[in-house]
Amino acid sequence: MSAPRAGYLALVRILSERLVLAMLLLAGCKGGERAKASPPPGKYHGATLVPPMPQPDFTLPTTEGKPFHFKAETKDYVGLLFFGYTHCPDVCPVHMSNLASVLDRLPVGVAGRIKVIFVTVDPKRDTPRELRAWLDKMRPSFIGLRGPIDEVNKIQGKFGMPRAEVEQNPKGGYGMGHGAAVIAVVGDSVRALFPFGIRQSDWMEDLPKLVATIPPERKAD
Amino acid sequence: MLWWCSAQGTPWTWTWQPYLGVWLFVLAIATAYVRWHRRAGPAESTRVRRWAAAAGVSVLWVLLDWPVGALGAGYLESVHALQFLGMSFIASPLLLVGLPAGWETRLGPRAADWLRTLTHPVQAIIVFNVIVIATHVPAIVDALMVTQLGSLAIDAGWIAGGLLFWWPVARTWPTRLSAVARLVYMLAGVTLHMGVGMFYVVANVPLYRVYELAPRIAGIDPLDDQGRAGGIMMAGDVLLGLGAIAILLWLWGREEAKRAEQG
Repeated sequence: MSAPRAGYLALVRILSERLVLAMLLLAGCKGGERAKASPPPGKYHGATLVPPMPQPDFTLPTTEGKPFHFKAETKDYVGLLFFGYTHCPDVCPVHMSNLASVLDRLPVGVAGRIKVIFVTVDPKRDTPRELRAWLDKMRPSFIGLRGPIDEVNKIQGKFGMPRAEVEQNPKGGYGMGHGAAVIAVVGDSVRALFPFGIRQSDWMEDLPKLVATIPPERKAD
Repeated sequence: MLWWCSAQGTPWTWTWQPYLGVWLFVLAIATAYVRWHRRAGPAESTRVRRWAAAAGVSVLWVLLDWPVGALGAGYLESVHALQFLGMSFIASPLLLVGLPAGWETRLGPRAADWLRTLTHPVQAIIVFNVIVIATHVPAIVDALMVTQLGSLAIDAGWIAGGLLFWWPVARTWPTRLSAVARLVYMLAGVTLHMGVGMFYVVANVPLYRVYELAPRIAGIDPLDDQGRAGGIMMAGDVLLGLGAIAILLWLWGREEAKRAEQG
C-alpha cells in the first residue's frame, strides 16, 4: 500500500471513529445502547409496585384450546401479561413487537425465563386461529388466551386495569378501548406496570432485573 | 389541515393528505427559479440549467409531500434516510446547477459577502457536517419530528446544508476549485457522513423514540428499519459519492486534455 493511500485510510478511520464517538456522546449512548439514568435496584423503568401486589389468579383457554392456569404457569417465570386485540392499530402491535425484538436479543438464559401472555379483549374478531397467527408473526413463543369478554373484564379488574370498551369507528367497524400497560409478575406477585412509551432499551435493562428476582429454588430447572 | 409532515402518532393510512405548507414552499422555490431564468440571458439560462432546476424542485416536492414526507416524518426511519439523501445529495446539487450562470453577480454586496464566507469549502463542509450530526441526534430528532415546525426545521436544515456542501463543487463563484480539490472535498464530505449510517447499523436498540413507538406499517420492526436506514445512508453515500467522483474525474481528464492541447 502506498504511503499517501495508507495515510488517507488512517485519516478516514480516525474521522469515522471520531464521528461515531461524537454521535454516541450526543445520543447519550454507550456501545450503541441508550444509556440513561437507571432506576435504583428493585425499581424499573415502568411503574414499580411497592410493596408488590399479590398476584391474582385466573384460568383461560389458550389458542390451542388448553386451559392456562396463570399463577401455576408463571410461577417459575417472569410473566408479562397484556390485554389487547389483534386489530389494534397502534399500542398492541408496538408493545408486542418491541417485546419480541428484545427477547430475540436477550441471552437465552434470560429470555427463556420470560413468558409473554396476550389476552384478547376482542374475542368476537380474535378467533383462536387469528390470534395465534398474529402472535406467531410477533414471536411463536407468545401465549394467546381467549375467553368471554365479561370474564376478561373481571380479570382485568383484578389487576387494576380498566374494562375494555367498544369504540365505534365513524368510518365503520370498531376498535377497543383498553389498558395499555404490560403487567410484570414474578413469584406470586405483581412487580411492575410498563405503560405505553416504554422502549426496547428499557426492556433490555429491566427484564434481566426481573428475571433475577425469580426465587432461586424456582430457577433450578 | 396539516401544513408540514410530522410524526402524528396515528395509524398509517394510504388516504391522500394535503400539506399546504409543502406546496407553498415548493411553489416559492419554483417561482424564484422561473424569475431568475427569465431575467437571465440565453447564455446564462441554458437548457441544461433549466432542466436541472425543474428536476431539483420536483425531487424536493416528492420528498416533502405525501406519502414520502409523511412516512419519513413519523413512521419509517428508512424513508427518513432516503429523504435525507434525496434532499442533501440529489435535490441540492440539482438546484445549484439549475441556477443561471452568473446568478451570484446579481446579489447585493452584503448577500454576496455572506455567501462568499459560507460557501468557502472549509466552512461549507463544517456547517454541512454539523447539520448532518445535529439532525440525527436522537434527542433532537425526537423533540423536533413531533411538531410541524420542528419537522420543517430538519428538512430546511438538510436542504440548506446540502446547498452549502455542494456549492464549492457545483458553482464557480467565488472561486473555481480545481478538479483535484473538488475530488478531495467530496471524499471528505462523504467519508464523514458515512459515520451516521454506520452508527445506525451498529446500534442494538432503536435510537429514535418517534420511530420505535410509531404505529407499525406492515409489521416492520423498528430495529430492522433502523439497520435498513443505515444501509441506505451508507449505500447512498457510496453510490452518490462515487457518481460525483466519477464526474469530477471525467472533468479533470477534460481539463488536463485542454491544457495539453494549449501547451
